[in-house]
Amino acid sequence: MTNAELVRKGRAGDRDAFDLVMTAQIDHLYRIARLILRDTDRAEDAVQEALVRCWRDLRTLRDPDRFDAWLNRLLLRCVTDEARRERRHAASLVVLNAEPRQLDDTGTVADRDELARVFGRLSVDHRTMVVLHHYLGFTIEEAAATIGIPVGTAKSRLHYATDALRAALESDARVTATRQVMA
Amino acid sequence: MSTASNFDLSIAAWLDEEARDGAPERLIDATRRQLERTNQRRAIWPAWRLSPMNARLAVAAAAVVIAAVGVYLILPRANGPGFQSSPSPTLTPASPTPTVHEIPAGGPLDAGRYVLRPYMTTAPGLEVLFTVPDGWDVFGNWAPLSPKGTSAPAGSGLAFLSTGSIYSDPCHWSKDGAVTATVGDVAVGPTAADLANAIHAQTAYTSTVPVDVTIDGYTGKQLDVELPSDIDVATECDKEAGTSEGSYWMWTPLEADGNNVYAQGPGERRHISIVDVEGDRLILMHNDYAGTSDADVAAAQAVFDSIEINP
Repeated sequence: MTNAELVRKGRAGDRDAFDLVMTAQIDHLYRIARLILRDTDRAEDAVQEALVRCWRDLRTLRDPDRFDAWLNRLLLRCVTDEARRERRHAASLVVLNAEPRQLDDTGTVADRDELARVFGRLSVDHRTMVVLHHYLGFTIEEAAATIGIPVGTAKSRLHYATDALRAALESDARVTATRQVMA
Repeated sequence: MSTASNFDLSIAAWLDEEARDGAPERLIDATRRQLERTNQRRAIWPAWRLSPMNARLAVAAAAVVIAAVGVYLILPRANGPGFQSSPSPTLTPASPTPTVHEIPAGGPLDAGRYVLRPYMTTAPGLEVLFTVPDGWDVFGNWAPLSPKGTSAPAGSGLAFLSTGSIYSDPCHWSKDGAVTATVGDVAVGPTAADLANAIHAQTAYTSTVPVDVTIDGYTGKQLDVELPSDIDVATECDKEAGTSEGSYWMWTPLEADGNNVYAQGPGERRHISIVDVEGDRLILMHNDYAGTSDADVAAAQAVFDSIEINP
């Protein structure tokens, strides 16, 4: 059974069908929420809220073929809501991938640490644009439509975030080069 | 390959690496438990429901008047025609700023101040704050209802809406066999005045001449609309898919799956304020009927007057 068929069944009140939809989507939703919120507990809260809203309002979705886009919008709204709330579990805050890992094509450990640091300092709005564009592969127009902002605003946010991340990489590269020269 | 492409690939690869882990089992279990306790909202589009009057609410209705007067005296208000005069500038709240609660997803509301976000996609950050007395309810997470609901003959309530087009014939909105009211046949421009004038130009219902209004510092237009009382909407109007009764739609929501309200009863009076909020057109509406008591009208007006808009 296709996802659209399951969504149609869920829209008709079939809880078993919706459970299959939920289990198929939850990893995807969690990864997005975790990337943007940088906090596992808050990401879980946002995902749970998004899926509950999804089930609650599923009958208002007029076109099941647009389910994925609709669910993405629901999630991003819940992520934004979650980000607005005061951090309730400060102890649960994690710096993702802070631990050293084996080097690979994505760059050095130092690169990744610097990226994580700079990415974490961006606002939720900026992180959302980066995730939509660079992780989900959305065009700027698609990202703008998903978030519900003008294309110009989306471009501006992505430009700002990209500059910050690029500067982080270049800064790290300069430090590395300096160390090599000093050695 | 360009530097920019290398950079894009680096970022994408880093994000992939960051997002390796899937959802933990505890999240799946917790979501399942929450879903088991959650019911779906009614089919097709959300619409105001009838909230039956009972003994508790009868008492609450009386309390509403008292609470509403108190609220009215201490809260900032909207300005414009039909609104009561502003309070004395020497009046100040007797207590600190009240706690603002997130609007729940349906159900009864405790007396207090709430925030809701009426737009999911076009302006997700736009917030509307308001204060309700005890006994009020909320439909979905976007339409505060009085204790008597919003239906005829004596209801009242509020809704925060959007639209990009309206119907010249709200009873016969279905064109080319459409089974959902998605696009009106009368396109309207982007401003508050455009929409107010377009509504006023329709002959399917009566309306007052739009006048200037300011809500929490945002300017726009206000007009009152009275829907017809000589139509049997259930049998005469076009039906949405999956419904057995007709619906009367003044307009369509701007957003796909956005909030919209069909006619709540014959002779419904809609007090419509339309303001431009930093590029977004916000429709603030409260309704009542000839049979709504003065006390209930005042209570709904007090809720409306307590509105604060945060773009």
